[in-house]
Amino acid sequence: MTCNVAQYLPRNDGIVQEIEDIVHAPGKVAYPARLPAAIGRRRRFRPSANIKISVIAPAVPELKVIGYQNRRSDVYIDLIDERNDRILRKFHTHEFHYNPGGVLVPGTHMHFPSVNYPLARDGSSYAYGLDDDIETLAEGVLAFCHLLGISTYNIQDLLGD
Amino acid sequence: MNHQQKERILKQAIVESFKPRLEISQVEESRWEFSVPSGDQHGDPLWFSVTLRGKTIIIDDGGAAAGLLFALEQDEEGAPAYELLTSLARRNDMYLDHDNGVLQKQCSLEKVCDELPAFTRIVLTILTAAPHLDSAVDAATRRKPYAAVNWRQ
Repeated sequence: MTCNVAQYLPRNDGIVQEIEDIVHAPGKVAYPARLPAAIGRRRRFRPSANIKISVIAPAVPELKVIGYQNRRSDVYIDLIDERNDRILRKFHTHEFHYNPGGVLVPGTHMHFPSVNYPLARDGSSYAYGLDDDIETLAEGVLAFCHLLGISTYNIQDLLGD
Repeated sequence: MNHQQKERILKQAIVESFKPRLEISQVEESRWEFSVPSGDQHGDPLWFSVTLRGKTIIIDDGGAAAGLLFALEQDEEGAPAYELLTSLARRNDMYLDHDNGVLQKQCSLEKVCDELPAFTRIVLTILTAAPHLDSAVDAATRRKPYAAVNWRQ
């Protein structure tokens, strides 16, 4: 079900096998995230539409999904390795992403790491285009989990209808 | 390739890198959105919003800063990125709309030419620096005894 991203890379670049093994691992299941205990009454500055999810699967580290929707209704979702905060995938619905080398990906797209362009907190990276027409964060999370083979049975309450 | 040919290619590259990314669109009767040529920390489009309310202009970041802080899990008081944001906001008369997760600045129509580039510059600074703050704070903490000695010499 999950996409073989090697097909989107130029000949002088390659996939990060260790990360692809985690992303393609079978049996991934999403759960509501375990939230840290609140410390006093600290103020928070966060998007009004946001979500955190834990993803557990046999034989892979615990993963987390962090997603939000900004004021322009663009949805941003990350799949992150809990051990080292390494980003494994990024799902964006904004328009006009340019891959390294300048190729335009016009609409919703999924970023993935390559050897030359790891998925860092800044800097460019490759992405492949998706047909999904996403309007809400819940739709985005469902599409994201579906694309990565993550069961969403346990988070239906978080996502609403 | 001679120097003039290189110069022509370089100028073309500069124009093509920035020109297509400046866009302005009207989203409501008195609200416009615009993207800045530099893009965000990934080079993706970075949109700001400008609202005309009477004689006042309200500039906002469309939720870019709040989104990044949430993704970094540094959206709470005491986190390095949150403290950087509030410090820059305080020094530059900006306002954090905690209910909607939007960074805002008010100004008059006369001052908007100065305030727009200043606002976008500060947001870009936050977006670029925030992901590196955790490791910078760690490094500074580790080096503190040596740094303290050096500063006093």
